[in-house]
Amino acid sequence: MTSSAVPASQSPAGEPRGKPLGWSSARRVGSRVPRSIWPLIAFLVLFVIGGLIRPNLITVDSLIGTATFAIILSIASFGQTIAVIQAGIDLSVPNTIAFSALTFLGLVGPLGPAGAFSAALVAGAVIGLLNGVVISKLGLTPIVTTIAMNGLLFGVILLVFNFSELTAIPEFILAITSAKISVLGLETAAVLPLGLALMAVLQLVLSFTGWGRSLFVVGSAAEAARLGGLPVDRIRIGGYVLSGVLAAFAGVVIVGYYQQASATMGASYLLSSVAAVVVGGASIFGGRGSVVGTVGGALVLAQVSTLVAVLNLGANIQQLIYGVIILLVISLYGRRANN
Amino acid sequence: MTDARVGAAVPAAAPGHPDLPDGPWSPGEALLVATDLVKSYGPVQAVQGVSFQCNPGEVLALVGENGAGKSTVAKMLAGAVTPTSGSIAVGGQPLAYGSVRQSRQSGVRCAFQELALVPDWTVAENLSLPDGAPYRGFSQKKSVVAAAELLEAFDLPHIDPRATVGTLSLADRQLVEIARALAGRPKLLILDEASSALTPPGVAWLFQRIRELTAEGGSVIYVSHRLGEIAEIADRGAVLRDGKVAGEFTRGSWTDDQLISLMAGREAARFFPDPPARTTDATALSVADLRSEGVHGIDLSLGAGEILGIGGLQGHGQAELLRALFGAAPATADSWTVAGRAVSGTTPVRSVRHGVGYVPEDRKREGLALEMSVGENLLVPWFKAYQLGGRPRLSRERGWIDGILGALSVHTRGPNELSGALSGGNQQKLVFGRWMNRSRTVILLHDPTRGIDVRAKQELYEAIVDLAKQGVGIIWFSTEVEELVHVCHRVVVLYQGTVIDELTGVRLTGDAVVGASMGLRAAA
Repeated sequence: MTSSAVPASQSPAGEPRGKPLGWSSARRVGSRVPRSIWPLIAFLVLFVIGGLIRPNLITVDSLIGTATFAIILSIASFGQTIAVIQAGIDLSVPNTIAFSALTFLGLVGPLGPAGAFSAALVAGAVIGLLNGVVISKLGLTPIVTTIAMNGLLFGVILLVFNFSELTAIPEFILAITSAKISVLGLETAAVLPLGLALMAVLQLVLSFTGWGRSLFVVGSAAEAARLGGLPVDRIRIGGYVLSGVLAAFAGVVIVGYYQQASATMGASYLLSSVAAVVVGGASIFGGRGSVVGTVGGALVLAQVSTLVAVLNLGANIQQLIYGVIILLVISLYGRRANN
Repeated sequence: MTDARVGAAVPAAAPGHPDLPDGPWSPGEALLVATDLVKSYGPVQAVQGVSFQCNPGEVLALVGENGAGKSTVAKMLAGAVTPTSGSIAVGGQPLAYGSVRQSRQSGVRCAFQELALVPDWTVAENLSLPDGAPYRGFSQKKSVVAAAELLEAFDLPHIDPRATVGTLSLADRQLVEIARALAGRPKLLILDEASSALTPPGVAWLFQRIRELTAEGGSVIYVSHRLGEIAEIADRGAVLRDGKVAGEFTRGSWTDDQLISLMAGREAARFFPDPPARTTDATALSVADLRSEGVHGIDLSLGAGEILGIGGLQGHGQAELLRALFGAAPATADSWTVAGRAVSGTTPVRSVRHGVGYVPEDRKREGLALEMSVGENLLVPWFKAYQLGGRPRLSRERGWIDGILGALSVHTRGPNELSGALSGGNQQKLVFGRWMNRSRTVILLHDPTRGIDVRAKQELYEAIVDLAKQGVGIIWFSTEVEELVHVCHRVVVLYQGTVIDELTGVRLTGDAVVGASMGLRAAA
């Protein structure tokens, strides 16, 4: 009897064995820490690792450089965060960025900077509206709808825009993005405070407004939201519109910061926007996520790309690492969601 | 156990012919011995030292309030949960912890309340799932034939093996789940609230199966809140309270009241409040010739402060009626008014605005956002896009939230606890509580007391009666005939999507309700 019990208790199948008590209490403490803190801790660890490899990386300038890169990725990922919270996804972010950037540059001449800026945001809103209406009214899955929209936009971009004559970038866009400003004695690009302010506003909307909380209810349990009398379709469409507007805003910001635009300028944000959101602690199944977390996720990814650059590994390796990070994070968070 | 592990690698046997290892147990000794079972989840001790045994051919009931640890014990026996300490032996052999597969190989099968069926698969696929070794080919045709035979053998000819499980009624899904557990010809069958959605004929069917199984020497662990069922089927029973065995009983040696006191740890009687006297003749809701999918022309009139019971067998249009009245399913009617205002083609959003509230059938999927807090779940219908939400809103509504949590005695650490962490009965209270004191005209209840413990039921009855006193009209579909008879002013029994009988006054008896649900219209 005893001998037969031994292999049974070591059975590889089924649930994990009873864990030592230390692990469960560590887990208990861990679960009290807000989820958006984890990416920041991960970022600090990576920052220190970078410092161990190259001591000259631990400087305020290097930190600001990484943060600036991260905040641009964050701005591009804010819309994605909102789409993911409501249990959707917005894979049209890359070409919404390109479309709005090119619309902006194309219309600066006829409409002036403010008019062109508004037109770019309206373009993003229309793209989001189409996504939202198709997803909630026709019942198509978000992943298919938005990836189709992304392809459609790419076609429109290639057909409509003439790349040979891109006008100069207006002054006020440069002023809010690439212009150097001094905050508390530190010199940074204006995009950094801009992005942080946007983060604060969005986080307040998500945490403390009826619409924000409804978005979480819809993402967490759409049927419960519907039977509770929430206007689920309207909330969903609103979420995609906001996602489109934010992606469009990101397009203008990217133009201002890098001072160039092309049809493929958004391509790298397809994977990285999802990665930033997921690393930031959002649940890909909806109902959980924060823009503060997304900024943390973007910081992690930015630090990874800094390390990749320092170690001279090349852009392909960077994509590979991003992919590994997404898988790792989803497997970690996904497991916790099941418990 | 070693041979069982070898057995895991070779294709498992077809349904009905499992290759159970022949344990060295003789009929005289206990089939199942559980000793000092302990299970803790972090700081929470769900089960703290439970011991019991079950003899061959015996039906052992496990009773207790929600959160008493019944389900955890059942899951440990099924191998779905690993005990923190303690031991379980089946037929003299220790059970492999935490492995459902090994438990099954030892002849233990389980049917859970939270259904373990794949909703997108057909009945046939779900029935062959447990024995379908992944290395063996799968034939739709053969599985349908096998499933049809199985359903025939178990006297369930009305279930189509080709139907997708998600399209079946909850009761039918439970029947499939039980049939799946029975298909393995278990030595020990665990039924964890498996009868919670079954109607009286369904329960009779289940008891027939249980008697067949025990006649062959199998044992059944029967977890239920329904004391009537336990009185009928259980040979012995153990009462769990706060994770410990609070007492044991044998057939015929107990009364409902004794058992309830034992479960609650205090003197408590099973008690149905009377419906309150009506003070007004105002009409809360009236609908003429309501038609929807599964509802074929229903006339209803509900007075303010009236509790209108909806009876009938599951699947005769009750769920559809409530959904149609709330606007969750498309419906048309010749005339339709709520509080005197004409309504047409309503949606849930409009219904809430008109003063209607709805407590849906499935609290986990349709009722709550489990990842959100208790307070926010109460506030779900009351979120307005341009108003505050989150914590500022919670603190502004603190008085209302505390009032609801207090009135329903919801066991929670406070409005900020995740609703997913609550027990089933407390979750149900949240789905109900969100409509309280919100100037509702009509509240539609879909079996709100299903699968919750006696004390929680009592608290809900009182809350329902209180609402009626305030003048709210209540339409209450219940699968428990006693609730309909005792707490409702009037009961409408549905049969095949229409009203077959309306019972009130002296005609409102349990027999009349059951009779009408079978399609018999009692003589007036």
